[in-house]
Amino acid sequence: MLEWKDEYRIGIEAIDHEHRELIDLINRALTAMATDAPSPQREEAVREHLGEIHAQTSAHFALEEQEMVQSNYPGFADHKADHEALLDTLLDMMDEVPEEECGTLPQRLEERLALWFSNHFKTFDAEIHRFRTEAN
Amino acid sequence: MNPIRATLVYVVLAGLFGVLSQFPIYPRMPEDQAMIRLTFTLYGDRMEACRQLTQEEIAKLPQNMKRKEICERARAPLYVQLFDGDQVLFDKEVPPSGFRDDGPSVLYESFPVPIGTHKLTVNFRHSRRAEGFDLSETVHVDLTSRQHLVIDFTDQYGLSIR
Amino acid sequence: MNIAKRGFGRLESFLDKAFGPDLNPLCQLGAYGYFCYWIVAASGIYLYIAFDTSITGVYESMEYLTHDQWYLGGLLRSFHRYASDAMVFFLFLHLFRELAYGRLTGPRAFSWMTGVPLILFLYAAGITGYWLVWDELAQYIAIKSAEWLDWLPIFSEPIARNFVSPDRVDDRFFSLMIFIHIFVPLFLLLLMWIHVQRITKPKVNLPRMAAFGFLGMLTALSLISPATSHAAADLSKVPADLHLDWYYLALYPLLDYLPAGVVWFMAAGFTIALLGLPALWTKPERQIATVHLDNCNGCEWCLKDCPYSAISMVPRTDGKPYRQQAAVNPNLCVGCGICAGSCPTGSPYRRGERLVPGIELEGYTLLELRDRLTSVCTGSGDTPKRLVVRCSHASKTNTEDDPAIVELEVPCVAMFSPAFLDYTLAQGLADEVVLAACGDGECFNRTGLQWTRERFARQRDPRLRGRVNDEKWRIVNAGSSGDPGIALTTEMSKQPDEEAVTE
Repeated sequence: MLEWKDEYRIGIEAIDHEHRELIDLINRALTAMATDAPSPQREEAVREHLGEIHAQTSAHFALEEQEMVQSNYPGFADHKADHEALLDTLLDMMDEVPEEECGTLPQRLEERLALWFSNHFKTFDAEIHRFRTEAN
Repeated sequence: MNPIRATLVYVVLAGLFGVLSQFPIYPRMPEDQAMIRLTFTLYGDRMEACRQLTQEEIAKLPQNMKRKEICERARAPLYVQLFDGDQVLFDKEVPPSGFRDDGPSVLYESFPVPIGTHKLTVNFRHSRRAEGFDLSETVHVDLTSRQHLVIDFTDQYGLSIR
Repeated sequence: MNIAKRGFGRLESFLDKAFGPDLNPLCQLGAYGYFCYWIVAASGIYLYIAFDTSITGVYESMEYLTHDQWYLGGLLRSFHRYASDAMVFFLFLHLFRELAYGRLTGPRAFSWMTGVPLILFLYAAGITGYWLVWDELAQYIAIKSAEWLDWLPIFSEPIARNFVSPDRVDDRFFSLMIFIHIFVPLFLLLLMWIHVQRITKPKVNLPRMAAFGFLGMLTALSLISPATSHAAADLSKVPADLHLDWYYLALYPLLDYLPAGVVWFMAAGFTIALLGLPALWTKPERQIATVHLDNCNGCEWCLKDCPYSAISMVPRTDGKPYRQQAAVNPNLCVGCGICAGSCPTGSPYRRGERLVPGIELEGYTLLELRDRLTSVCTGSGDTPKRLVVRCSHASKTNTEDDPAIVELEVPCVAMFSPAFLDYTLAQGLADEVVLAACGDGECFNRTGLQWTRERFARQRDPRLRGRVNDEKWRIVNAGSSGDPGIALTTEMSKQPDEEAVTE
């Protein structure tokens, strides 16, 4: 499970809000996957959650990138590249869902998704925060 | 981008602008014709003679409107005839303009005629008389190619044919 | 109208090959009109300086410029004339093109109707220009115009009487003519500005190469066939054969044969008909875009993509911590759906009815798009080999010829986002996807084709994911300037240049 940590805060209300929402969404996804429901229903639940994650993540990245461009953030290109990489990963994961072993899916999801996000918050997003405080 | 085709398009465009701005030629009037214009702006005489005011009537008028005579506004129509030899070019009444018939009579007519000698007769009535004409004139003109002859009538010069 | 559209399409594709899409004159007729205006204005300033406004000086000063100073004054005079003629040419070509494509209804009615006074003022400018030279042509025009105006009950005596004899025309007449000939074009410029006010990023400037090419053409024309005057005006004579400038003076012979009143009715009728056309034209069904606040975080992707500036950002109204939200101006929205294709929350991977983006068309939601996509692809049983996503302004695909090809229609190809392409291929709904769009320069919604290209080339957000195999999709020209059957015949494996060019 992902946890919101105070160090993830970058100081822009909208982005912090979306970060918290995304964390909620991922946790709900992970919970749904860990249920004992029969396979096709679990598959459907997984797909549903991944679909929402895809949509909300795309929108969140759009907003975050807009913020970066508006504040002339120098690390924009690298940051955006990381965003693109995650979206690729997400879609690849959705393709793999029917073939996944039900048992290992939540674990792999947790690894890739949750880990990716917490890493991203700690590194790329934290950079933004540093940039903003230094600018002020 | 094909330079040859592009140049071709430009040539066609240039041709369109160059040619249509001058051709085809519009034949305005043949060599063997001239133009007679009958035109004037003239007040006909008043329909009624002006009337002198009596002393009492003058006294009744406001200070700024005192005058000696009153004239009715209506004007008589003009009656004009124009003959080219025996041919009738124009034979009409020209009514006064204005809602109250108090404006000038206005005429502007054009007649293309062959060149050469013409015997032009103008009959003109501007008074209130019922019959006959106030002015009658006959001229012999030799019209050259595309000449513009104007028959005008002004208060100052009377009938003028140039 | 279809014939006209196809005619323009053919002409456009011919010009595409001659000039390339960037310089294609047919795609920037308005810009050519503007450019002609600048040429006429600049040359006019020089001519004005050299012009003598006395009745005898007028003709002589023009003759001096044309013959003695042929290399400058004469050249500029020819520029002045030919660029004015060109302006009429481009105006009418532009008018007919917009008419052929039906671009005069709804929000476009403003552009159409503000264009009508442009015609009138351009003609007034050109005609007064010909008056100024005071040659036989000017004499003819002056008398005929006066006779025409005399039909209106506004003068106490016919103004044509001013021209019955030489002594009646004096210097002040030319001062008046010059005044009109300068102020009418100035007002014309104002009208030209108003005419483009409702267009986002209107193309009013020519690319440099086009400008140089056009100027070169004008120079060659001016040197080969310089503009000259007729014989000097002589009111004691009727003008001889006239070299009418048929661009501006075509109505005058009509005045010789028809009564002035009839010609007034023709002119008034033409003007009123043009103005009333938008109300009478069959309007295409117009959907309006709506914003779903739950799915909008104010990222501005839709605003950037809207070709009609119908979207703006406004302060948040739902209390969420976002700074802004999208708002649609229904007076400007034409329902192209490009915004729906730009919204990041429009992911077709959202299950069931959760597929609601931040902005989409009321009458053609993304949910409906996905439903149609699914039914079209699964309807025939086997997986279709090819899905054709066709914009409603491109040629229809005759899918009866090949059962393995299915067609999905959208108001603009840019409504079909890269995510939808990814979804189609990844879910195995089709083996390959062809986006049948309008041709370059004729995209009905101005920038839909360009955005689509850039999104799919991974240069504009929302961008196509890197994982998508580029050999499985293709954007083709199925517009009036392209091959109508291309959606069926195009081969994925061949590069577009290698394909046989069919017209």
